Amino acid sequence: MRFLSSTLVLIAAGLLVANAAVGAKPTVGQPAPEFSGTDSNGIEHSLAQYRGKFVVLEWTNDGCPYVGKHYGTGNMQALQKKYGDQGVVWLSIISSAPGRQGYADGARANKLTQDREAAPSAVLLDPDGIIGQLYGAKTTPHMFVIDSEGTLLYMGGIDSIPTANWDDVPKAENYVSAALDEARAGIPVSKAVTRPYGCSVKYGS
Amino acid sequence: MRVTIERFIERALVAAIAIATVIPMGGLADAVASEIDSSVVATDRARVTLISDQTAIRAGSAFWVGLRIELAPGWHTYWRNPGDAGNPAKIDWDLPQSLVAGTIRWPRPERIPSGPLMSFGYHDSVVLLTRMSAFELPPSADTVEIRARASWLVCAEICVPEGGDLALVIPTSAVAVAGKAEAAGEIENFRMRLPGPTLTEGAFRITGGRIELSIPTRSTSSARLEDVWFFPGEYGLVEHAAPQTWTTDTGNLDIALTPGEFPISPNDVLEGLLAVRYEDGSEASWDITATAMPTN
Repeated sequence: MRFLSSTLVLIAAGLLVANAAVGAKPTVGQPAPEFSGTDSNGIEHSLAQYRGKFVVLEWTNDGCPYVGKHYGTGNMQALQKKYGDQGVVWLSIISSAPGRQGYADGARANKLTQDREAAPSAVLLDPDGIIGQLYGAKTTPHMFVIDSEGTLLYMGGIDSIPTANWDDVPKAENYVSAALDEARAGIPVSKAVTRPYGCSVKYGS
Repeated sequence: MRVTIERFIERALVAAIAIATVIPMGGLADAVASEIDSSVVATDRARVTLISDQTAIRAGSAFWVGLRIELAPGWHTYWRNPGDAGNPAKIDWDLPQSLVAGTIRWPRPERIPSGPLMSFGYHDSVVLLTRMSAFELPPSADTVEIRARASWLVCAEICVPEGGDLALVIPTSAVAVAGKAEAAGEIENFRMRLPGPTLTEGAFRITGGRIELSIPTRSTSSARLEDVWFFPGEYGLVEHAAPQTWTTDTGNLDIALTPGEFPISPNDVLEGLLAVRYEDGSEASWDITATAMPTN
C-alpha cells in the first residue's frame, strides 16, 4: 500500500512535468514541443525520432473550404511530394474530435489520402486534440516547420493570401516552402511567424 | 409573351454571370451555393444586402452605406481581426466617379469562444458601415448606382465562404426629396456600436511575461466598470483566448494581456478596440493605439 501511494505520487509528479511542458507555448528559435502520436495505420511517431530531418506539421480538416482550396488545386499534394522527395518528413495531423467536422479514423484518413492523391509521410490522428493544443494549432491549415535539430523554424499560415479562393493559390507567397528553402540553404527564415488562416480546429469541448 | 421570354433569358444570363462570379470565392459550388438577385445575396445561412440612410443623394453631401449581413440562428461572421480563425468580410466598390467610399467601419464585435480558441465577430445581424461622399453629380443623372463585389465568411460548426455582387440604386436629389430611408434606424443602431474617437494616451509595458496596457480612466468614464475587453486589431501580439484581468486601482485602467505568437518589442504599437460595459449595463468602445511606456 505504501509502495502504491508513492507510485501514485511519482505518477502525479510525472503528470505535473508533462503539464508544464504542455504549458510552454511553441516559440520560433526554441526547441519544438516534443510529442508522439499514432498514425492512420496504427504506427507510433514521435518528433524525437526525426532528428536529422526537417519536419513539417500540417493541421487539416477535409471539410474546411480553406483546406479544400489547397487540396482542390493540388497545392498541398505538390508540396508534400516535392519536399517528401527531398527527405523532409511531412506529418498531416487531424485534431477534429469525434462527431465534429473533419474527424477521421484510420480508414477514413487513408481513404482521404488515397482520394486526394496526397503524399504526407503519415497522417497522425489526434482526436483528443493533445498535439493540437500542445502546438496551439488554431486553424486548418496551420503549418509548422521544424529543423533537423528539432528547433521550431516557422509557424503560421500556409501562404500570404488568406482567402478560400482557389485562384489565389498561384498568386500567393508560400511561407512553408520559403521557410524550408531558406533554412536548408543556411539562410535565416525571413517570415518566421505569420497569421494562420482557415477554419477553427474542431477540438472537443 | 416575347418580352417575357426575353426577360426570362436575361434573368437566366444574370444568374449565370452571378454564379460565375460566386464560384471562385470558395472554389466549390456546394460550398458557396448562393442565389443572386441584383441587390440580395441569400443562402440558407445569410441574407446580404446594401442599405443606405438616405432616400436621395445630393452633391456635396456624405451618407452611409451598409453591407447588411443577416445571419441564420447559430451562424456568425467576423470582425476586422477575426481572432484565432475565420476571415473578415471584404468589399470592392464599383462606384460612379461622383462617389468616393471610405474604409469599412466595424461595429463592436462579440467574443465567440470555441474550446481553446477565440473568435471575434457577430451573430444575428450586423451592418458593416462605409461613409460615402458625393461630389458633383452629372446634371442628367436621376440616380446613382452603388455596386459592390463583396465576400464574407459565415461559420457555425462549419465555415462557408460566401459572396456575390450587390447593387443599390439611390435617386439624386434632382428627382427625389432627401430624407431618412427606411434603413436609417438600422444604420443608426450600428453607428452607435462603432468605436469612439481613437484613444492615443494608452501605453503598454512588458512585465512578468504579460503585456500590461494602461489607459487613463478619464478617457473612458467615471461610471463604474463591470467588464473590460481589449480586442487586438491584428493577429499575433495578444493571445486572443487568454483571460484578461483589469483594475482601476492605480487611477488608470490597467489591463493585463497574454502575449501572442509574435514577439512584441517596445517599437510595436498595440492597436485595437477597447470595449467596456458599465454597471448600469451601458456599453462603450474606443479605437486605441498604445505605444510602449518609456523605461527608465
